[in-house]
Amino acid sequence: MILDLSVGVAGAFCARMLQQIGNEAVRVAPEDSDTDTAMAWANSGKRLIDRDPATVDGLEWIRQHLTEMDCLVEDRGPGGLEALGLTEAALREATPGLVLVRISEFGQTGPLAGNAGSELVNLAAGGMLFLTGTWDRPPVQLAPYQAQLTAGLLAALAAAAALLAGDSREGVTVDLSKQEAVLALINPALSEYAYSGTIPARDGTVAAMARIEQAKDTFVYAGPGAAANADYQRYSTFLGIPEFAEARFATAEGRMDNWQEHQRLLQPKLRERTAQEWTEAAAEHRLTFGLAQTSLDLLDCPVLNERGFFEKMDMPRTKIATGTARAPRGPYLVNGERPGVTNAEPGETR
Amino acid sequence: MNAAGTAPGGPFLPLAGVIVLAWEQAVALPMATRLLADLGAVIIRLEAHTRGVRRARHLVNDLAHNKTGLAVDLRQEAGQALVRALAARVDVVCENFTPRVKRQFGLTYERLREDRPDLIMLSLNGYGQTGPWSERPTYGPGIESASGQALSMGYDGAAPIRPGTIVYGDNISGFYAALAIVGALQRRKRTGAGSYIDLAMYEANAFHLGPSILRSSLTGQAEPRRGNSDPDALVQGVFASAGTEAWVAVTVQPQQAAALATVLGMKEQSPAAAVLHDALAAWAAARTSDEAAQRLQEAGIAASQVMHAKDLLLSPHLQARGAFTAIEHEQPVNGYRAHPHQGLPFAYAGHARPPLREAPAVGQDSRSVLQQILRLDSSEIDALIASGVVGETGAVVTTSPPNTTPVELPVSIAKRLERRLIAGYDSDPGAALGLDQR
Repeated sequence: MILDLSVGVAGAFCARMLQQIGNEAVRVAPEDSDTDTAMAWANSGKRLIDRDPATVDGLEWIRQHLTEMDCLVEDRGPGGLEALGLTEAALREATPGLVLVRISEFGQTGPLAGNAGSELVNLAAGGMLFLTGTWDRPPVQLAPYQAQLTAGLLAALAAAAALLAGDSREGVTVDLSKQEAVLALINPALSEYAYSGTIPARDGTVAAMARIEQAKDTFVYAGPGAAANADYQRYSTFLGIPEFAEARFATAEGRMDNWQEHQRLLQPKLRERTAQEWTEAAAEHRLTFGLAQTSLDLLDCPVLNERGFFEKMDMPRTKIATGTARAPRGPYLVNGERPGVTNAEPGETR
Repeated sequence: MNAAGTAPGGPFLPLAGVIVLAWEQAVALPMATRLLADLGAVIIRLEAHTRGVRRARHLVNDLAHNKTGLAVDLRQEAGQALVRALAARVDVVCENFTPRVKRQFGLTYERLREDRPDLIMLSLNGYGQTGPWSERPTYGPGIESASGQALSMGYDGAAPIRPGTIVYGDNISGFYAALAIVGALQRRKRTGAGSYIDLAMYEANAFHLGPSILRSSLTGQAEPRRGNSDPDALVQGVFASAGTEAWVAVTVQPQQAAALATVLGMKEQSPAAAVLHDALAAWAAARTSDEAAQRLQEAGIAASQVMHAKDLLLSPHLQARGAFTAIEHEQPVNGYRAHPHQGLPFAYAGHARPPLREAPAVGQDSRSVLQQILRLDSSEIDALIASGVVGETGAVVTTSPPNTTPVELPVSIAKRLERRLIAGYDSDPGAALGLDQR
């Protein structure tokens, strides 16, 4: 059993992912504490104990049920658990094999432990922000909650591995810093500097190949493959741009040297067909185009719907909205089925 | 750079004893199995010795450290049989090839399960093993576009962009794959049953957008591209600070108006958000990003220097936490015996981070894998190598960036700086990082 005492998305999502792989989770929190869609989604399917852990009532419930728990997840920062009256020593005395997951902005130790954080600050501290954006604008953040969800996911991995070790171990504490979770996303930039001395930056004035471009209707990722070995002969034939077969476009360096010409040839061509038409035609030519979709488009995607990606989700106790919505059920299929955290039916087409 | 973190205890390796056969390429699955390797699993990295793949040493050390290298020619039936025999003797098989390639080599789940009914197998590809898009070739950038990630970020009103590392979609998929495998091991331990995991990068990245999709379902609106704003913050932004390419990221909560005004030296007690924003921008521009972040943090306001690769590797905080571990090379690379890498992206309190062993060359450990797992003797292995079914060390070596210690900047570096493709360059990064040159 997973005991979830989280107050933020990272901790709540960690517990959700532990449910997703087959563990039961119980959450101790006031019933109306889901204040946004992220918390509502991350907490769906958990058994809720409607008590505030910061009250005598809440603490009493936790203490009474500690022995039933295999894992406790919290994201209150250094000292946060202790402020509730729960020390690690006391937890271990009650449940010697407990896997304690502590998620924080900068970790439980180190000179910056205890510093404040936010989604934007996590991305900045972990090196992702510096790499994202265009050269003529300041660095820019990712889609909402990416640092929180990544931290929660990696914390779940840490906990699941420890739980698997089971009887062969004593209790263990996972110390997950959101800064280090973000760092795990940018390893190539770190090692590039360490080995070669170059400091990677965000998008420059030129590129090695197409980025996301405007098609006739919406956007399409029009990349022909990996930058280093993109086959511009095939790309040329497919697009009907004979110039792309010339030697000047054959290498990444050549395309950057001739970037303005590259875009002058490519951009009007891409506007001739819809994003969907380009993507389907490219797939037949084994080119790695990608349809650029919004979060709303995904709800109508026939492939996601066919593979049971969505489930209906009742939102009776959130402040955001009430009624039934649809949300992602699980990230993968197991034996052809999609494990979720609720007994909800698969979602119908919106 | 410490070799194994700063904690007193030895590393905690919860997956010790687990053996994974990883028929892997590119980034997504190698990221997953690298995490499992750092958690103590033995990862047999299956590659072909017949393809002349050249890879940058720093990237292969990121993704294949702590792994064991096996090379088999799957175009030969004997190679396929060998891999099937191995699959029956390991705990987990995983692969990231298209369904067509698996069928071609007789390495489908159905086939492998015949010899191992409780097999755990994970298949990772772009759009899943079933459905109309299952054979579509893809890389991370295409997935970031399709999954909604790219259009849910970026500058309001400007052309769409992508997450700023070329491997974002791969890494997210890899993290989910690692958890899925550990989950399947838990299930087998509990029930005795194996399982087949079908992980589409498209779905993993769309799942990672769950809150936005739920919101879209409720509102009928797509997640907007909202720059650096946060609707719940009083003030949030990335502010230029003293120096070039120097920035500080700040989030001020609604209840922190007075605290921010005090830091900024404003006399007004509760200034409007727009006034605070402009004052913060002017204040940040007059000091270093590090100093600005520190002053704001002292007032309890979330702030950080926007860290780049060099800042991160030199961070006293990350070093104190043992976040980086040196990988030692057999021969010096670019003049240095070891280079720092991130190992496990979390710590088990009281335990050092696990040591990191250099990525194997293709087929480096073929002999020992065949000896220890299939119990083949030397003459049988010699015959497999002689027939080209199995490859061993030396068939393909990894490459590393050129060993340059230039007096003047190489043209390509100067060009990259001019084109803003890189933010800076040190000709001797090892000296800047204080690496051991022995």
